[in-house]
Amino acid sequence: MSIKDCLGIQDEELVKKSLENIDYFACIYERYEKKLIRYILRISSFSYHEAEEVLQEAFVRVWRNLNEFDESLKFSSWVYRIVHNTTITEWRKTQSKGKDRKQDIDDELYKNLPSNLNIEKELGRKIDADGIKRVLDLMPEKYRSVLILKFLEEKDYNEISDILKKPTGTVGTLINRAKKSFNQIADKENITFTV
Amino acid sequence: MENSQKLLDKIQKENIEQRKKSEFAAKNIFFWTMFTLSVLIGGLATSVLIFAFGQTEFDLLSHITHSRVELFLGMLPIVWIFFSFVFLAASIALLRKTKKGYKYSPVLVLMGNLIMSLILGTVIYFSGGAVKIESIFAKNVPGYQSVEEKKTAIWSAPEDGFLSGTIISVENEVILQDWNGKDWKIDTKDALIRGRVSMRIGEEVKIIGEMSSEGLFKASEIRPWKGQGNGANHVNN
Repeated sequence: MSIKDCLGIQDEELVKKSLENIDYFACIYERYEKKLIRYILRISSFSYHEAEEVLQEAFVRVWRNLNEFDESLKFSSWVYRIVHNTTITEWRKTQSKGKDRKQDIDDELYKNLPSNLNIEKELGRKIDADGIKRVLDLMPEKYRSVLILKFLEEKDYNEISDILKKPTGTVGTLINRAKKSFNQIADKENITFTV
Repeated sequence: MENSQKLLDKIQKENIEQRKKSEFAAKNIFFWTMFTLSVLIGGLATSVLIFAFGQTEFDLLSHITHSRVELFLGMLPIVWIFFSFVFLAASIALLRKTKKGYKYSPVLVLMGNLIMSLILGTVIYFSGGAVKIESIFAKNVPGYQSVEEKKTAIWSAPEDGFLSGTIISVENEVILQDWNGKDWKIDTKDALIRGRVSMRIGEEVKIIGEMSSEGLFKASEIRPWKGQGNGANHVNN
């Protein structure tokens, strides 16, 4: 079964079908594969190949816990949550083995940001992909995650709350602090932004 | 091979099974049950706390000039403050473990739990539960100092100006037998006698004053053993 066979079927319906026929699970995977690999690459410094492995691992977890999915949540929030947690866990493991966070900046992940997101207005400064990546790399994980979810993944507060399992008020506070932290790090590291 | 097919192969080859719906439901019920139990136990602890504070006469602190901190700490029902805090914290943590628990703001959860503990505690206190719990603890927990024992200890310090016991004579002079069986002559001249105190044989009282000499205590205020005896006071002169 491929993604074409599942066109027009809602995520929630696909979950139900997957519980009866595993082939439908492939549709869910394919539907989310691209954007979730991109998300893994954004919140970690895994290589593309490693991100694929992490996503496989995360989807095994999705499969194991498919009965836990609660339809009052958006499926995308639930799947992002599992992928987020798996990525953070796997990333910490690699860090404890001494892997450096830094890696070559993949402009593809960030190049459209200044033009199509309101991060500039939100952060009050002009930015480019290189600058964003460098500052994000230096930020504490909790701040980096909310900024990425809000500005790069374009999730709203409720979705971020469901993904990170934090109250919406806390998400708002985290975003504000993350924005301050972003600017402070940029100033401290003397990272200038140009468009 | 497509990654999606690789995933399905892995699931099938390793025979990875889905966790049952009932497993998740049981987990959620477990956390809700533990949360409810924590709130209930927290309520019980709060009820004893209300009882203990009701029995504590903090105004005594103004009557002594030394060891104030020591007396204050001795007055506090540390065990019950600890229990109330632990179960309050446990109920907050357990609520966050429930399926949608993360949605609630920590401040609201804290306030809500505090209010629940206070309401429950007050209800249990007024229904007599606090005294029962306290006495169960006093009987069964070694080393536990009950509210009554704590009160007795505070009011058995004549050198600090606190004496208590039973009036055994009121003829010519007031004689009080303290809880250790020692007799004291009480000088009640100029003493403020709290409204509910009747100076008669068998009356249990607490006395604030000064130890004039061995066996002689000059009273400045006499209170009933139970409570502070607020009401129409009079000075004995």
